[in-house]
This record gives sequence, C-alpha cells and structure tokens, in this order.
Amino acid sequence: MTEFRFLHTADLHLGRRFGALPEDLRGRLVEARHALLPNLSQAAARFGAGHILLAGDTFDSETPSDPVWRQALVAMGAAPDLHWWIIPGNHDSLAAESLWSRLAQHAPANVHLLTEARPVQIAPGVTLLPCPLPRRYPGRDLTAWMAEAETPPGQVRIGLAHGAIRDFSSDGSGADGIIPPDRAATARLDYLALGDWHGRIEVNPRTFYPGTPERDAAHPDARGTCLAVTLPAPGALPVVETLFTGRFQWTEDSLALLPGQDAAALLADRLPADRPARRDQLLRLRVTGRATLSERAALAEAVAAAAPDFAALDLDLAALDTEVEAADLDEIDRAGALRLAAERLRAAADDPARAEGARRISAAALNRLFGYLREDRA
Amino acid sequence: MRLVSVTLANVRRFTDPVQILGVGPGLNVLSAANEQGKSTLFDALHAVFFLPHRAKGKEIKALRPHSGGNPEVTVEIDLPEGRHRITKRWMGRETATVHRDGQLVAQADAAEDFIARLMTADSDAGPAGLLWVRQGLTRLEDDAGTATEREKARANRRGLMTSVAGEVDELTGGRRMDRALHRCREDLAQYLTASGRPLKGGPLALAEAAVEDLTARKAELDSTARTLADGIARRLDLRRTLAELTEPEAAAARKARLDEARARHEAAERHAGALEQADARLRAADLAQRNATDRLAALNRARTEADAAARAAAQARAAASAARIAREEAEAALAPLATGLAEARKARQEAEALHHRATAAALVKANAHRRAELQSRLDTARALLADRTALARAAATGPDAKALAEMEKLAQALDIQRGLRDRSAPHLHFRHDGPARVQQNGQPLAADAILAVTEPATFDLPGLGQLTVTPGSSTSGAGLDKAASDLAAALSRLGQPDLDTARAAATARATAQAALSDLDSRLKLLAPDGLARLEADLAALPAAAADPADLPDPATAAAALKSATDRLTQAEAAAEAARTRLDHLREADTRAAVLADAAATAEAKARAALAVDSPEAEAALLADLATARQSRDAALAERDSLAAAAPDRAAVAAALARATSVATGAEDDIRKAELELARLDSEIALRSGEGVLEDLADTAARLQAAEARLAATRTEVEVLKELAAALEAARNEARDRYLEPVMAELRPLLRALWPDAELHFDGESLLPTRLVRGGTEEDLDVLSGGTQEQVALLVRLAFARLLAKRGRPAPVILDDALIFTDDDRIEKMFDALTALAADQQILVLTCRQRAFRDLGGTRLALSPP
Repeated sequence: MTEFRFLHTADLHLGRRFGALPEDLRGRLVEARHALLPNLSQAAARFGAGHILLAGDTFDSETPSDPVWRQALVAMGAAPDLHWWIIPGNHDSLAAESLWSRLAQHAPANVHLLTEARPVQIAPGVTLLPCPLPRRYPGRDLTAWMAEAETPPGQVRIGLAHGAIRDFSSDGSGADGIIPPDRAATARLDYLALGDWHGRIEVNPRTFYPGTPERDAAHPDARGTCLAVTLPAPGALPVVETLFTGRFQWTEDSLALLPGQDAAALLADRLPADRPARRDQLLRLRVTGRATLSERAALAEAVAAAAPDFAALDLDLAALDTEVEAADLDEIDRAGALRLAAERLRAAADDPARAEGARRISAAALNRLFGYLREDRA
Repeated sequence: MRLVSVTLANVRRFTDPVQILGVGPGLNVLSAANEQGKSTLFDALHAVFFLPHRAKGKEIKALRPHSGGNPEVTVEIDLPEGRHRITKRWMGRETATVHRDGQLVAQADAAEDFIARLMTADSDAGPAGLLWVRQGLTRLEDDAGTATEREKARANRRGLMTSVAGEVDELTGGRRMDRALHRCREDLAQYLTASGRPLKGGPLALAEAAVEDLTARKAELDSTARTLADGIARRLDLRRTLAELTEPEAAAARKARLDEARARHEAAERHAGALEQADARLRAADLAQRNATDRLAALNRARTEADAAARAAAQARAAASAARIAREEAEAALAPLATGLAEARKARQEAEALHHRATAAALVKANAHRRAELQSRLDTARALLADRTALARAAATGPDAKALAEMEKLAQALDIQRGLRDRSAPHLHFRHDGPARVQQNGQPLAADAILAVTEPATFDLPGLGQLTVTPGSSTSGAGLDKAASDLAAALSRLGQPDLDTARAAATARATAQAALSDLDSRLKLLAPDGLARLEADLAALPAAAADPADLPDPATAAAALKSATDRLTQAEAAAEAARTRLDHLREADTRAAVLADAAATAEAKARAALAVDSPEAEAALLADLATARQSRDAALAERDSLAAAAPDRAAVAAALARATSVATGAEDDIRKAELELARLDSEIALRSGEGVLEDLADTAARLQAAEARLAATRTEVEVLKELAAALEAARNEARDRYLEPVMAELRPLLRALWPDAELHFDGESLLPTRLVRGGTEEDLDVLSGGTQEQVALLVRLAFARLLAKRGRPAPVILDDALIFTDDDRIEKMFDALTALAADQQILVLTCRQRAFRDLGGTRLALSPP
C-alpha cells in the first residue's frame, strides 16, 4: 500500500456554552467551536488526508441539544469524500444511546459511528480498532481487546481510544480503566490515536494525544491543535505533524513586581505586541510580589486601559502584596485623622496574627483610600 | 504675631489715609458710633491677611471707595524675628510688600507666601483666621426689619457658629477626610442600606439573587439530569430484561414446566376422589357395627329394668301396710284426750263464777264506808252555812277600807285648816294684877291666859264692863269651812254621825270580813264542788246489802281461776297435737297406697316388655354384630392403603400455581417492559433534545461565575466597611484629641459665666451643639441670641488661648461680637477678655461706646497720619 494519511483529533466538545464567561464572549466561543468542523475539513484537504479520526468527546454532553448534533452532522457531510471515524468518549458515551441512535439515523454516509469494539477496515489495507466508551466511567481498559484482535497480514493497524494513560489519583489505586502506555506495542499497532487529554502529548512514537482543537482553558499551548499523521507503510513509524486549528488563545501569565519597578511598563512588555490578535486572546495575568500603593494604582490603571483590546483580560492581584511607603502615606496625609486611618489599615494588613483574608481586606481598604484621595486631588 | 498699627488709604469712606497707632499687646478697644469705619477696618485687616494683592473679586471691590482709587492697607506686626510692615494695594498698581526693620524682605508673590505662612496651619496649630469675628449681628436686634433683613441676620449668626466648625475642620484636615468618608459611604450605599442589609437592586443584592437563582436552576437541572440518567439506565435494564423474557428457549421451558405441573395436579385430584369413596365405605361399616351393638345393649337394659321394678313394687307394698297400722294407732289414742279436755273446760267455768262473786262482795263493803263519810261532811257544811248569812251581812255593813281612808284624809285636811286659822287669829294675853279675873261666858280665865280669838267673843271685865272682840275675815276661814263641810258630807254619805263612829263601824266590818273568809275556806274543804254535789254523791251510792260470809276473798278466787285456765290450755294443746299427727299419718297412708299401686303397674309393664325375650333373638343379635365388625375392618384397611399412597395435593397445587404464575408473570413483565420502554423512549428523546446536560454544564459554569462575583462583591463590601470604620474611628479620635485641649481652655471661660457649665460638641459637625447648665442640657439653637454669641466668642477665645500656649499667639479681632449680651453678662465677658488679654492680643471693635467703656484696655482711635 501507499502511505496512509489522516488527521487525528479529539475532544471537540461541541455544545459547550462557557457559562462562566461574559455574555458577549460566550457567543463567539460557541461559534468558534462549531467552526472547527469546516476548519478540520479544510486542514485535511490541505494535508491530503481522506480520513479524520475523532478519538471521543466530540460532544460536550450525552444530551446535546438538537441543533448542536444536527449542525455537526451537516458540517461533516459537507465534504462527502472525507471520512469521519468517531468513537464515543466519556462525555458522550454510549450510555447516551439516544444520542448515538439519532446520530446513526441522521449521519451522512461519510460519517462512521464506531459503537462496537471490533476491527473496521477504513481503507484498503488499513484496519481501525476502535474502543468506544460504553459509559462515562467504564472501569476497565477498553483497549485490551486490541491485542487479541486479528487482522489480515500486511494491514495497517490503527487503534482509536479515549481515556487516560496515566493514573493521577493520589494513592495510585485508580488503575482500572487506565490505558497501558505500551498498548501500541502489545497490540501491534502502527498508531494509537488517543483522546481525553486536552494538551498535545506524544506518549511514544506510535501513541499520541492530539489536544483539543479549540481550547477552553488556559494552556501553555495557547491555541488548539490537531495532528496530521502519515503512515508510510505497515510497521513503519508514523510521521506526525501538529496543526494549529484553534481560533482563541487561552493563556495565563504571571508578572512578578518589586517596589520601584514601573509596573505599567512591565505590563506593557508582557502583553502581546500584536494588538489585532488580542481580540481572540483570553489572558489571565497573575501578579505576584510587592508593589507600592501608587505602583499598584498605576498597574490597575494600565490594565484597565489595555483590557478592552482583549477578548478577556483578567488581573489577579490576590498574590500581590502592598508595600506601603512613607511617601504613600504622606500622599494620603502627613498627619491627622487620614494619616491615622491609613497607618492603622497598613498595620492591620501587615499583622501576621490576622488571617490572610482579613489582611487582604485591610490592604484593599488602604488601596481604596489611596485611590479616593488621588481622585480627590485630581 | 502681634499687631502694632494699621493704616488705610482709599478704603471705602477713607479716601484720605487714616491710621491706628499704638495697638497694645493685651486688650485694645476701638469704640466708635456706627458708620465710623470699624467694619471697614476689620475688612481691611482681613484683606491684608487673606486676599491676594491681585485679587479682583467682589470682596476687593467692596473695599474700593465710591469715588474710585486703589485700596491700600498697611499693617505693622511684631514677630519673634522682629517688626514687620506689610503693605498691600489692590485694583491697580497692585503691590504686596513685606519690610522688616525698614528693609524689604519680600514682595509680590513672595510677600503673599510670607503672609500665607503666617496664616496657614502647620501641624495642629490653627490659622489666625479662626480668631476673626466679623461684625454682622447688629441687625438681629432690629425685629422691625424686613423679613429678608432678619433672615440675613440669622444667616450671619449661623455663620458665626459654623465658622468654628469650619476652622476646626481645617485644623484636622477634615475636609479631605469628609470627602473620602463621603465617597466611601457613597460607594458602600450602592451595596447596603443604612441598616446594613443588601440594597434592593444594588450589586450585592443582584449578585446574591443571581447565585440564588442559578443554584435553584442548577438543582432543578441536576434533578432533571438525574431523572434522565436514571431513565437511560432503566431503559438499558429493561431492554436486557425484555431480551431475557422473550428468548424462545426460555418461553419453551416455561410451557413445559406448566404442562408437567398440570398433569401432576390432575393425577393427584383423581387419587383424592378414590380416597374419599373409601372413607365413605368405612363410615357405613362403622354405622352398621354401632347398630348391632346398640340392639344387644337394649336387650340387656330391659332385663335389668324388669328386676328393678319387681323390687320396687315389693318395697311399696310393705310401706303401705306400715302406714295403715300407724294411722289406726293414732286414731285410737285421740279419744282419752277429748275427755280430759271437756273436764278441764268445766273446772275453769266454775272457778270463774266463784271469782265473780267474791269480787262483788268486796264492793258492798267499800260502799258502806263511803256513805258514812259523805254524810258527816254534809252535816258539818250545812251548820256552817247557817252561820254564814249573819256574818256576810256584818261584813257588808259600815265603811269599807277605801271609804275610811278618804274620810281620814278629809279629817286631816280639816285639822290643817284649823291650825292655819288659829295661827292667824288675834291672840289675847290676859295678865291679872289683882285678884279680879276676866270672865268669858261666865267663866274666869286663868291668871296668864292667852286666848286666840277665832270668832267674835265677849269678855266680861269685872268692874269695867264687857269686851267684845271680833276677828277680821281671812282666807283661812273659808278653807276651814270647806274642809269641815267636806268631812260632814262624807260622813253623811256613809250614814255615820261622826268620825269616831265611822272609824268603829269600819273596824267592825273588817272583823266580819275576816271571819267570813275563814268560814268559806272550811266549806271549800268539806264540799269542793258544792253542797248539792255532795248530796248527789251520797244518793248515788247503792243501798246497803247483807255481807255473804262463805265467799273467799277476791285474791284467792283469782288464783283458783288462773290454775283452772292453765290446765285447760294444756289439755287443748295435747288434743291438737294428737289431731295433727293423725292427719299426717292419714296422708302417709294414702301416699304409700298410691306408690304401691304405681310400682305394681311398672312391674307389670316391665314384665310385659320382656315377653318377647328369647335366647334365639339374643343369638341373632350377636351374629349381626360379628358381621358388622368384619365389614368395618375391611373398609379401614382399604382407606389406609389409599391414604398412604396419596400425593401432596398442596405441593402439587403450589407447583401448578407457580408454573402458571411464571408463565403469566413473564407475559405481564414483557407487556409492562414494552410499555415502559415506549414511555422511556419518548421521555429520553424529549429530554435529550432539550440539551439538559448542556444546560446543566452551562448553569454550573454560570453559577461558579456568579459565586465568584458574589464573593468579589462581598469582599468589596468588606473593604468599604473596613475603610469607613477606620476613617470614622480615626476622625473621632482626632476630634477627641483636638477638642480635649480646646475644652480644657474653654471650661474655665464658660464657668466664669455659668458655674459647672459644660459645652457639648457634635461628633459629626464639630459644632458646639448643647450647653449644660445646672444639670440641664439645652440645644444652642434654642438659647437666646446673647447666650449663643457668648458661647461662640468663648469658643474662639479658648482656641486663642490654645494657640498662644503653643507658641503661636494670634490676635483676636472682634467686630461687634457682643451685640445681644446684656449689661450683667457683658461684665463677665469683659472679665474673660481681660483675663485672656494677659498673654493674648485682643482687638475689640464696638459701637456700644457706653457699655464698653468699662472694658478697660488700651483705647484706640482712627486718626489721620
């Protein structure tokens, strides 16, 4: 056979609504998620692939609303020569049989719903070993059957599964349902296409998580990805290429401040230079260290000025301690009641005997006083 | 700072320069009539210290004379570093200069800075402006002014009061504090009401409502999602169950089990029928055996009964014979008893007759005694009655006791009248010297005779003739006549000739009455019911009879009668007992005869019943019994054999029921499962289409965001609350710290006017609000204008003392600040001012020349230079 090319993706989570985000942003995020399907079609076309393997969690829930799954099928059917091979993941497991029965009723011919664990020949010389999730928490390794599954000699064997490959439970007792990292080898797979983890991970040269194609939380890889895989021949190592498919960039950054630094300038350096691109960025900036009252005020002003550029720009000052200097207090008042109030708030904020929350409230009260008087002066 | 001199040029009415020189370090008084320029001087001084030389506002314009010109003011002041002269000119060629000891040390803005440093607070000292009291209260006196004028005056007064607070605020930096606190409270008010509850429609209330709504929504969706998940799980179970139920092998197995159970059930029922028939046969054999046994027993019973009847008949006959003999013996014993009874009756009759006669003889004796006694009493009584007639007459003759008493009374009255007459009559005393004697009625009178002449009397006087004496009439004479007449009349009525006779007749009557009474008593004893009754009793007695000598006395006769009666009673009892016993024996005889007949009849009947008895009949009965016993044993053996081989009907029936139930239950289960599957299909299809889990995830995310918002909002509220609390606490402490020394200075000043007075300041406005005098609190607003201005002035003086003590003495300038204060109180205020002036410069401007004459101090005057 000639080489076999396909896209490997997973965790599209169609139907996610982003309730925690502001109203205007939600619509954009939902729309971007739906736009993934044509984007993937186009990426496949560009890559020269006739198949897209979806390794679970295509839908965000077991009961997506009708428009979500209907429009998804329509989008997939838009390119009839492109075959979509889909297994249920934990979010859209087979327990939601009504979803899968309705998908089966309405799926176009190029959309293949793999609801049974048995070999499927998806192309000449290419056999797919799918591992659909019967329920959200299957409690066993669903890839175990692959090792025993026989395929005609000379065929490419591709595994398609959804689940964790490492156990993150504290006592290590949650081994049930964990996919062995060496499953590709034990099952004689040319490639094991996994889903579940939203970051792109190469477990071994034949085993990959592609990451979600459109992010829904901050990640070091700010944009969503999928994998373009080329299998040159049975038994040959796959060639895996990462394609950036996500529109929105979810990033989290931290900014450490020290008194005397120009907080506004530091912020400006830290923000992406490409201002138009900021529109699709959700940036959470966690500020740490210490800053004086005026520096803190300056930082808040700078963030407030920059925020409208971004899809979302959150400033987390919880870990920023306030450094109150004599000059700050003098700016409040050199003496008298205001000075007394300010000094007491500072003492309360610095009092190690008090709870962290109470100290932060005192510090915030001092900041507020500083702000009031600065505005008053202006 | 101390003022030394002031010079004005082109200031209002002073188009020509005027000056005040020699302003002393203590109390200074500029006393002048109205319109003499005091307020102009005040305003000019104020302008030097507070209005920049480039100022062009209405305050400066107000200083300009009508004729125009550039107002110019020069003041000399002493400062620790030396004497300074400050000059300012406005409204053209504006200048500001400061000279020290004749040397220019600052001009223009530098001069303004120099002045500002003098006036501006540093640390807790105060600006000198605090101590400026502008005139403005005079018009308040004029109640006849227009409403606008009165309001203006009131406003001025309020200004005087509020200026205190304003300056205090500046000292404490309170205006910035106020704005910060106001801003903080304003921000807090967006979240909370005054009482600390979330403000309706505010961010906190909205955040809380959002969390609440979303929590409820999430709970609802959770429930719906659970229902959906349960439905899906249930549907899986149902499908599995349905598959198991409809599997063909399972159905066939259920049918085979049911057929086998039915066959076993039918066999068991048949066996049960055969057993019931064997039971019936056994019961019939039992009955035949019991019949044979019964007949044999009846034969034996008849024999026994016939023997018993024969024994009973013999016994009855013997009893009848014994009863007859007993009756006959009793009848024979009854005859002698009847004879004895007749004899006893006769003896008793005789004893009764004897007793009667003895009793009659005793009565005859008693009558003879009675008759003799009655005759004797009758004779005596008749003799007494014969004497009684004469005695009764004597007892009714003569005056009775009452008549005698009346008569004695009249006699006593007559004696009294006579005594009276004798005492009033002329008394003649005859003393004879010689032997010749006066005679009356021929009788010579005694030698020393004294005669009372009660009626004309004639005395013969021997040798002289006769002397006739006639007493005059008197009342006593009439009384005497009447008494004599009354007595005579009474005696006449009684038929008595005189009093003594009457008294004797009365005594005789009383004696006769006593004798009559005694006689009547004796008669009563003899004949209590009268003589006639006595005579009748005597006549009623029977005539005397002869006394029979052979009769016993009545007691003996009575004893004989009782003895005869007892004997008769005994004879009657014996006869009655014998008759009763005979009656009983006759009844027993009769009963024994009847019983004997009945027993004879029963015996005859029993004998008749046994007439058919025969050994053949008995042998036949025994043969029947033996046959019946054999039949029963055979039937019992047959029944026991069938019973031992019988199957367990209940178990067979239960097995059939279970097999039937399994078959029908499976059909029911299949039907129900199909129905429920259909229902679940439609429900899950409906719910799935609604995107419940999407909604749930979305709602959970929204809730998380809302909770974060709520937490942030609450934090914001906490921040604002803590800030407000910190500001309020600091301000209150600053106020307390500030007011404490002010109060220390104020207290002695206040108490110079009102012993034990205290002034309270409002914590918020820092205005003095209440004056406490003699334990009574009064709002300053309701105090008189005089008291209000005194309080205001004393507060300023207290501030002045405070400044002086802190090394920043500043002049106190009062422009007619005591307008309403009366003469008594003003003396005390003068004392306060004088005391303060010991270490404080005070400049008093007043139009009350006469009142302020007693203030003392340095007198100032405006004069040309």
